[in-house]
Amino acid sequence: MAEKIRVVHYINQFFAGSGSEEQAGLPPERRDGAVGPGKAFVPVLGGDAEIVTTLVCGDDYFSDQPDEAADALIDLIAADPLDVLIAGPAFNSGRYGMACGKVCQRVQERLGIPAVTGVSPENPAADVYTAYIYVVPTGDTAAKMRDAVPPMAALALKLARGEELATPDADNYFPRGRRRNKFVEDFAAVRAVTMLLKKVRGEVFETELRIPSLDRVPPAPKLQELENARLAVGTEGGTVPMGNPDHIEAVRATHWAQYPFTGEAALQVGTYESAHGGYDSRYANADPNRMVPVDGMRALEKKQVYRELYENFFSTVGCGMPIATGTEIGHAIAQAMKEEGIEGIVLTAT
Amino acid sequence: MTSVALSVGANRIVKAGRIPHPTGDPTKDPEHELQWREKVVETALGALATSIDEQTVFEV
Repeated sequence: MAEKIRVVHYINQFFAGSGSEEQAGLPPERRDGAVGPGKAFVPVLGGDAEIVTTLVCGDDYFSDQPDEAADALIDLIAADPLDVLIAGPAFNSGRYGMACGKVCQRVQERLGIPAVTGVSPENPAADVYTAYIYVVPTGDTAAKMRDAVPPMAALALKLARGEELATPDADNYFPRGRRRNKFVEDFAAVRAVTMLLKKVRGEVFETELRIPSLDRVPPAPKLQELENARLAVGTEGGTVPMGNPDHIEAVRATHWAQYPFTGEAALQVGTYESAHGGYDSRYANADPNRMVPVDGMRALEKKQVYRELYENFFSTVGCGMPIATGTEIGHAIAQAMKEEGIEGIVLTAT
Repeated sequence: MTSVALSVGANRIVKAGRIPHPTGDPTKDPEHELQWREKVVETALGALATSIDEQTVFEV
């Protein structure tokens, strides 16, 4: 009987059961066997493979020093005989997805073993890492774990066995921008006209080449006269008045709001809370200026570095926000700024 | 998270604090933390007043 495929699984502090945001600073550690979602992979991997080791790291620890964290994690397994690494799935989690991508990339580079992770299409890791590693598209949240595990496991086994992969659609991974030559019956002119006729007739057709939409916005011109400028401050960190009066959602927020400052020179402690579900809010709750730097903005206004600070701050929750929603909200805030004669904004992000 | 800001296309990016406190530094005492925060804001204002052609990360 062939030897079992040896799998190492990377997960974050939350999935390892070590705690939530307050444990996001957890340094790299190694555990034996399958942990947390690894246990969901075990029956799907079946008798052919075994999760021999699980690597864990806190999402903040990793995102603060991604190169060092990835290397430290790989150091923990560098001496082990392993066949493939599975990371996540991270779903919509930005930090976790980026960490999974980095670990996969690095383990390929350093140990020469294949790796696979899973993230939702909205996860920034889907843009950044698909060029380097195999990434399986997943749903938005861990509620979709059951759907994510089978394609990830299947891809991991194929990679571990060195089998040739089929198309992204067939083998469930994000297109990597790779092109493989293959022979087809009809030559290009025939295929092009056939596709055009379908398009013109409103029939379903499949493009042969997917043109990526980069959606880059050209940088706005600089402020002409900073000393004369009317500026605003804002955040996606979800700073809201106590009680979250506008009910801005903790994840996948659908709207934004603007709120007055509760103090002249600074935001007053105890008058705001964080509506954002994606970070440990104790630091911002202890001092909201750590999220919306009103005291800093006021200090520079006083020194006349710029002319004046708009009396409200803009706020939304960027946790798990789809690009389309972010774009809409950005447009709406820009419109509100224009109506108030605000020329620039300092926007903080978590 | 500078890498995420870059990947989604933000143009003027100031690399400041950490995720739970982008304009905070709880390792400092309040006076020094505010001093640092003023430097962060100053860098941000500088970025607004700087002409750029492409995505740019400004360090405090």
